Amino acid sequence: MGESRNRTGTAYALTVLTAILPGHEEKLRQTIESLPLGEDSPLARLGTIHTSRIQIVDHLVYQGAPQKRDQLRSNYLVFTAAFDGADLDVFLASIADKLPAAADSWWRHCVGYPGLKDRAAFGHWIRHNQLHTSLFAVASPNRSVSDVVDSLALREQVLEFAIANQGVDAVELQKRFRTTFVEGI
Amino acid sequence: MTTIESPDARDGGTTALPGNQLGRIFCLTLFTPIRRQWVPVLAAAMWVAKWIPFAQKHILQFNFIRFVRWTIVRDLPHNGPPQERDRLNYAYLFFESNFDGPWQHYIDAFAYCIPLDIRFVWGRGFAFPSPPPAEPLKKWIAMNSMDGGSYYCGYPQASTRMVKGALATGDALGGLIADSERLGADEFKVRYEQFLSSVQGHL
Amino acid sequence: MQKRRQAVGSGGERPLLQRRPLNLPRRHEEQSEVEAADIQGNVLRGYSHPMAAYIFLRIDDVVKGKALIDRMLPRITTGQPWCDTAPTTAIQVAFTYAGLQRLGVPDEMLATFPEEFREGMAARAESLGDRGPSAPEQWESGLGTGEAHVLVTVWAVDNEHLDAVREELRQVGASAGATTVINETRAEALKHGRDHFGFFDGISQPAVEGTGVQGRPGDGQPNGAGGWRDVATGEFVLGYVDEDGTLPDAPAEPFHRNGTFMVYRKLQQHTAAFRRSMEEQGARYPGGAEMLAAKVVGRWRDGTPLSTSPEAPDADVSADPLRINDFSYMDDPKGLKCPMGSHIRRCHPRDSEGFFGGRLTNRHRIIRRGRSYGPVLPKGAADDGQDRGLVFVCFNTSIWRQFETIQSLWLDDGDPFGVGPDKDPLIGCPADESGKMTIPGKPPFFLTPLPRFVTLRGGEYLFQPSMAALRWLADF
Repeated sequence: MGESRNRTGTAYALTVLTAILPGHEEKLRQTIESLPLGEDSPLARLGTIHTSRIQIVDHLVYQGAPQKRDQLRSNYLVFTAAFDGADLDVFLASIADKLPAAADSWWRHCVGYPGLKDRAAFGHWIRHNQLHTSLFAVASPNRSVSDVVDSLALREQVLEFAIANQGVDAVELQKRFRTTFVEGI
Repeated sequence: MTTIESPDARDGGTTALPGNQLGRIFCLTLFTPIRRQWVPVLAAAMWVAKWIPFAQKHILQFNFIRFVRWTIVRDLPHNGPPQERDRLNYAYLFFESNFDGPWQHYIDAFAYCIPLDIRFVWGRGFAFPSPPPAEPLKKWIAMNSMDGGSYYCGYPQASTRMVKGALATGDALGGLIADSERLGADEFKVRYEQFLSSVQGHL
Repeated sequence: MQKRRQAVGSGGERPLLQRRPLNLPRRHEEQSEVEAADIQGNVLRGYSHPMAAYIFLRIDDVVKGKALIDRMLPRITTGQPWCDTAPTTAIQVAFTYAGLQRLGVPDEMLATFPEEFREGMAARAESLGDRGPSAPEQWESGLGTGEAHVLVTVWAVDNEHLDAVREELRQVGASAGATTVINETRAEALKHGRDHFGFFDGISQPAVEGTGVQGRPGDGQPNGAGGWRDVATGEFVLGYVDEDGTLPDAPAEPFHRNGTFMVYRKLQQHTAAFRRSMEEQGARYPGGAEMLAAKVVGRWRDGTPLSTSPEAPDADVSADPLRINDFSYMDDPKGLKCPMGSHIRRCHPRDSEGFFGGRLTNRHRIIRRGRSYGPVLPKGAADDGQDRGLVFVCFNTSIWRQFETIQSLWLDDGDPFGVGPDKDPLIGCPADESGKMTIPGKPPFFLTPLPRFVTLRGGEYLFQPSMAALRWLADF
């Protein structure tokens, strides 16, 4: 039941909260902060992640009276991702295939992490620590990362073509259009 | 948190940035207490919202939000020793929004356009400054915003509008390509101009 | 406990579960009047004096500098309405953060000033889009280096009066060793209210509550019922309620009230390049060169808004102060009349789509008090290499939220309007000439290349104190 609300369209919202092993916080923090960004990120290798955030929770904000203070006994690693395909097992398998070293580098600092060799155990551990989404809203729900990236590139092409061919006569226009968008790469 | 993102950042620059921002996209994460009595009401409302198309559109009407999630956390997951079990006084609402920044303008939009929704979701917390006005709400958010970490986006140089526009352009292009194969030059030019007129808001 | 019993059915009371949160400040009663005598003059009412001099001073000796301020006090024009005719000259004074530091304002007080003011405009060049020839490294000497401490603005009815005051200031400052003039620009309004691009400028100014000045239709903010309402005083003067319904964040006393933040930017305009570009591209544009220029600006040269009259300028509209600014963008979501990316639509989106009937533009208004500078370039003349342009000055209570939002998010970018990374076609500073403007139409027209028509020659963020704060500064 919880599973269905993690999905909207073909996108899946994953939120995983895992306790950090005592004494490991500093090393984990350094690891996260030195992760390459953007295209260089290990997460880019999947090609299916729209957004993802990895961060540490080491305290809960006290809002003021009359709230009673909540103190955390552990620090936690939060891993979130909005990814394509709406199938968590496929996603976890692709992590294990394509970025095992990176995934190890942050999750091995967490309690109970079984490593990636045993896929079933890994999946089980993730699901145990998964927080099921209550509501997930997506601007373009049935579009994959590839759809978006390809469309962005295509739009650039269309714009370039439109600018270069302002005022061009009909025959030439059609010819160039076909060269660019039909016979072209 | 008062700087406006630099043009370099918008172009997808990867200089070291806080875990809240990459290129054009910002991430706001909140983890705030909710009174346990309120949890069933909130959970029910969110369950209903999923099935009402109006609700999704209501949330996304601002055209600058890409992915947003609310997660009600009743208990923190426990993995056995050496983790000690955390027993919290309250349930918590985990909120993560991915949007086009800056975050202060994002909050203004919520405060002035959908204050009731905001109050409904967060108002049963503690010391929550109900909007409007927006300024106390921004101070509350700055106080609660979970900073740091590492943020990733598959297309950080594109905004929500740019993504939607590109998708719409790509969709319309298919029909035009088909037309280029079956129409004569003059007819095609007319079609081509119609195509440009229909997607000009994205070009 | 009191509140619980009152809650249900008391009509207008807060519902049971919502107690007043502890950190929500109580709304202050709205001021019915502004303290005009304590606010410096040109904030709430513009001056009609055609001549102005913008004189940046470096304080060389703190004691003497304060004495100079003290001597200037009686000469500084306040916001009190003039009884009969305007005085022949008017003087205002403002300080940079470096200036306040130099005067010895204590650190605890300095820390209460907002971050963007403390950093200064030059430090924020990247986010403001001040790049290439507009970058601080290229600015005129004296600006953006931390040397500029005080800005004295002198207004005058003619050159003679202006020169007299300038000379007085120079002598008093220099001979006493108090200050040195490190940068100065002299401005003179062009005929018929035009700017150096040939456009009627300065039409749209916010109608501000409590000033006693009646705003014209279109000057305020949309009121949700097809009309207009005044903008809250606190958007432009500290110590008054703003559009958020609270007092804006303000520096510590005595700077907390009746003062405001000032943005100064000397914008050099490349008139010949603009004319050439409009002619060349106008030859290809179906509507012709004049319409092309109007699409870039958002108004015809005579000030007629495109939204009111998209096909041609209309003298009935442009000659009528009640019509020249009275228009909405609600019926033009695709920008077929006035392009979304045009200059005036970017600077003041009003009720454009995405701004929720004006609710998301309320807090981004600015009061502009600039003047053109430099000689007119005659029509048809080649570029004469002369320095001409606009001294842009604006007032707001939050530089970040007001000026910088417009400059950085609305002019140096176009995403809020759906035009992606396109910068303002008139004053934008592109990284190169690959920029463009899409002019909506059937079919659209792509204006490209889009050269740079404006270069920033220098700027500063300043604080224009109240009279009370000035007296304090002269004396503390």
